[in-house]
Amino acid sequence: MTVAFWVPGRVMRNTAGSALVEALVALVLIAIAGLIVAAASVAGLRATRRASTLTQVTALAGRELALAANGAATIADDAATITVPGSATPFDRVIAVDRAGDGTASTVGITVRVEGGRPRERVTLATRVLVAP
Amino acid sequence: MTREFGAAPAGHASAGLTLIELLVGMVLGLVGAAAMTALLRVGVAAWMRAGAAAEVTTEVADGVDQLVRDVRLAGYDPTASASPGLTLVAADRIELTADLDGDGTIDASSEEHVAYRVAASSRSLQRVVGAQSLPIVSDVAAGGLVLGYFDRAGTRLDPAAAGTAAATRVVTIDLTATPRGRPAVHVSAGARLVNR
Repeated sequence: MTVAFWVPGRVMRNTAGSALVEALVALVLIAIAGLIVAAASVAGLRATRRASTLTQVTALAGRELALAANGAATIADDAATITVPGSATPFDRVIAVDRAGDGTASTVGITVRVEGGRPRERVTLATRVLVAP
Repeated sequence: MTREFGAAPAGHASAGLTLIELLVGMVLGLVGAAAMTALLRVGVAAWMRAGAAAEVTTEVADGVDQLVRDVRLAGYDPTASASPGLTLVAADRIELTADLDGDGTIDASSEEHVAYRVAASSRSLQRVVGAQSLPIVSDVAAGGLVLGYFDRAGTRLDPAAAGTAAATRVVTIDLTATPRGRPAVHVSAGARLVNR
């Protein structure tokens, strides 16, 4: 017998029944590809959800910072749990105050950290406010 | 004997696909396709839900952000003669002024006078500039806009009381949207009137 040209692994192998194995291998590969696509989709959905939560937490932190800055002359370090309408879980809020005086005027550094939401996210906002000495 | 590439080896009866193998392959292929289709349908539905929720959240947050910017700007009055800052305060509406061009007067037909209110008929939060009302948030819930007013000491003020507009230093904003068939979205924010 003369073979026209050599094909690796083809000449010596009995090809009977290989179709089923090949189909199964193809299915496994497709399943793996599907899993990868599904994992990417889930990651995308989580990122979208996280972005929405961050938007809400950032707005809330802005509110708390505005309230804190309004009382900059007297405000002190504080930690509290705040409830927001429409949110099933309360938010943790921490205020840190840094006072620095120069004799004629004082600046008050205020840092507000708000944590909460689903998924739980943390946002920190800071400002400096000029107050009378 | 000469055999071309791809031809059946001599004496082999099992070359090529049998009918059983072909049928099994087709059934497995169909099962795989059905599983992939179901997975795709679930994924697409989840994407649509998440996208719609994110869109509503963004819309509400943008509307609140616009209101926050206007509150911060309220009372801008470089000539110290024109702008009281808040001309109307209520639990569900507010009117703000700022002498943006510094000419000592408030032009009520321009951005120097801005009002926010919820139109019950269209369920939208409207930003009113002069005679123009621009809906900036849709699907606002009944009573979905709640404004809070705080004085310099941080005391919450009654919007209906006299002197609240003049005493206000911080405005808090709670806005809730309830799009049809979707969960409610709530954004809580606030701003300090930096020109007071």
